[in-house]
Amino acid sequence: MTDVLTIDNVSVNFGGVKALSDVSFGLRPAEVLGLIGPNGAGKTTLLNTISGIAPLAGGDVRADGVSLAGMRPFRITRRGIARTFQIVRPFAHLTVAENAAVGATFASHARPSREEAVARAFEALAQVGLTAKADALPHQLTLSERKRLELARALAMKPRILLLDEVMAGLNLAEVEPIIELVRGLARSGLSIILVEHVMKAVMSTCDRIVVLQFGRKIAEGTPEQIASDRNVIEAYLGQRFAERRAREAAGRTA
Amino acid sequence: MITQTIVNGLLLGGLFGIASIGFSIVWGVMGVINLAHTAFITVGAYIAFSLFSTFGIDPLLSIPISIIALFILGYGIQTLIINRATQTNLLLSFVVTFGIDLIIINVVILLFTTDFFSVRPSYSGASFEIGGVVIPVVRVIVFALAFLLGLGCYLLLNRTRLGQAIMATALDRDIVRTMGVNPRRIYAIAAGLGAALAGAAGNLAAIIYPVSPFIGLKFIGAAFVVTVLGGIGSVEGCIIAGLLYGLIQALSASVFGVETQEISAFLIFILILLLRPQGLFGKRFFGEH
Amino acid sequence: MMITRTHLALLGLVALTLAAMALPFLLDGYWLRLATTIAMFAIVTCGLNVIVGFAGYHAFGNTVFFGCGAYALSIAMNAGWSFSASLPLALLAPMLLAGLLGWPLLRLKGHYFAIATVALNLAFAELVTQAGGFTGGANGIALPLSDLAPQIAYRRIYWMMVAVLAVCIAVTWWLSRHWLGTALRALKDNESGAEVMGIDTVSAKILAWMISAAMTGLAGGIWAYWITFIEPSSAFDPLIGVKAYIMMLIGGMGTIAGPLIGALLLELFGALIWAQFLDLHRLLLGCLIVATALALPGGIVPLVRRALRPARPAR
Repeated sequence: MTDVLTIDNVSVNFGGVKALSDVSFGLRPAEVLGLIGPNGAGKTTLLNTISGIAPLAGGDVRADGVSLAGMRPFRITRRGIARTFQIVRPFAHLTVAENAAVGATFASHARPSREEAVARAFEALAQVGLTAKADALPHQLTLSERKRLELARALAMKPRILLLDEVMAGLNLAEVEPIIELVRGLARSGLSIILVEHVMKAVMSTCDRIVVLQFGRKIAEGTPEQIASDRNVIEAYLGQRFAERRAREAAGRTA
Repeated sequence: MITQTIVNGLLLGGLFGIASIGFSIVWGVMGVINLAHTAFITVGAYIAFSLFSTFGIDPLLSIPISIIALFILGYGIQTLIINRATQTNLLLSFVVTFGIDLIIINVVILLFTTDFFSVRPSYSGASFEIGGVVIPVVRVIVFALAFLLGLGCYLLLNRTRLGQAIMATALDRDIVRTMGVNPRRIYAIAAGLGAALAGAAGNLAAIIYPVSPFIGLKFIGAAFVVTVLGGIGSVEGCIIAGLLYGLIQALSASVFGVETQEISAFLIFILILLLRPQGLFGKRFFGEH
Repeated sequence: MMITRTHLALLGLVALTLAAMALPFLLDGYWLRLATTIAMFAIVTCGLNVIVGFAGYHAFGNTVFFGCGAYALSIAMNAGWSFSASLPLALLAPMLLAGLLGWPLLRLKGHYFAIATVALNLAFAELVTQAGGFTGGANGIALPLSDLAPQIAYRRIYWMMVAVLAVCIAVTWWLSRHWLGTALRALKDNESGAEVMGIDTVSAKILAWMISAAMTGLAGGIWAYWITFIEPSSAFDPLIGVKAYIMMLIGGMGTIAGPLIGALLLELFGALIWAQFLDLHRLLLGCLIVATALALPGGIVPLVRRALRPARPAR
């Protein structure tokens, strides 16, 4: 199965500091790929690089075999790659529906008619359960609603690849559940998704595969089960001592 | 010949520097581009002229009076008008200060008409010569005083508690609020300081140039170019950039003719904005956001 | 056919234009001149509104396009072109200038863009002054006089201004519903966010500045033909752009009717109040600018809209 998105030896510099070094992995069709790692591991930087905001220092990003290096962000978006931002910044003077309509209007090369864009916007709002707030202004929304608006804006773009940057952070469990459902449903319908998330429960139950970053390097890649028992990952998250103890315990059980 | 040009340019450059520092501080500290800055310079020049013509006070001695008067004017305008107008949108400062400029200049015209006056103390004609280069005494005095004022301003901002408060407000006005500093008061002080320096510059300019309501306009190009060249809000940057600007002006005048001075200033300005907006000595300030 | 708000708006614009067109039969001399000035400033303000009100780029030196349009027309007419052949130049030359300079200048943000346009305006005034030759340099440039009787010529100029203004208002209205207007409003709020949502922000804002320049330049062209003598200090007078800015503030940034309302109010106010105090003209203008910025930073149109909102039934 060929990858829809290939991250090929990507390096990114950030004011003289290496934010990412030689990261490689592929995103398969219709899968949810979790991207996790401690704070400052380079997860958001990687999404920024894919969407054209942060320039590549080395390596390449390819979508369906076409290199995205040096391409302006709006062109990347129009190739069907939509994203959300960790810090949501909706267009403050546009209503919720208009915000979503911007995504529907501009994200493809063939610009849809006004009516069609509005229809698509409302479809996306329905998917995230924001229809009732269509005429509200962003500052009138709760955090959870703003996160969902961010998601709706991306969905209105009708992307093939969706990059989600912490859409569940700061939400309570009851609010997280429907989003997990939505993300699984999107993948079933054929979308390929990269999910950056801190909520571990969400990552483990949503993702088909997981890539772990630490200090800008990839330290592990595999299924949720493989990742959960990966020594490097446990070390990265819980410290070396804890990892050694887990290893001894595991050895004790098998003996 | 070329040495004479360079010396002329550098001597004037000191005045350009001091005429720009206030503009630069106000921009750096509160993000306000004060189009009335040159009107402050004009007022300073008229204070020197009035005191000289009415009471015979030497224009060098009237400098402290100009400084105090302009500080009060700048402080008052900031508190009464600019602080309020910039509440909603910083870019409104453009319009407001343009309006203030119109008011000040036209009050000056009402009081003094558009006639040209001159301030000529006894030493104004004196000059000396070093290696074939003629150096007018007045220009040396103006240069030295401009330099001293610049130095004083630098020390005030970098070595005193008040200066620290101003600099801190420039960097983050929300944080200083939690430390018990009232940013609006700091803004008013910074604006007063900026106006005071403009007043001193105008007072000095009155000794060199004819005094008219348009004397401040000579410095509008300089204020912009020197400020961005030196780095917005940087006093030491202003002084160095002022010298550089004086030099460039003098050289371009002698090579391409006096008429091209203004064009070269604006072209330099747009080029700096495009190529190196943080200025030559790059510092980060509130006004850059 | 159902009558929608769109039809009503269009109908209103046509009716207003026709009414304005009828004015010269009632007014003459001073008042016709005033009406022409109002229409001219409304056009310049419309142009400013596109780049400032919609795109959020504070082009403080937009006068450069006014002067550019005025000079383009004057130079062409002095080269023997007819007025109608020269007028398109007053639109195309500023548009071209905005297109060429937009790419480097519109990369600047906030203050930087604002002052760069001021510098551009001053640089152009200097450039025209120094160029001499066909620009007339500092001496200015006189236009060939029209064969028409002054009375008739002034009426025609007024009609032209009103017609151009009607087109400008229509363009602004069209922009407010067109995708370009949406793109501009989005990038005004958050430029990098707009780019990531698929908006070509660079092209959108350059396009906006070109539209702005075209409107401003047309006003400059007709103005030059009207007063028959232009010089750098009058054609590139920064005060033209600043007055337009004030009119935009009075009327309301980013609104469709704002520019017309602002121009109407400021010019009428000027005619009624400070025509009595010629010496104090600029002083009073300064006071008015400060007062407007302090009291009406949002403008009249949003104020009226807010006042009317509770009366409008929910849909």
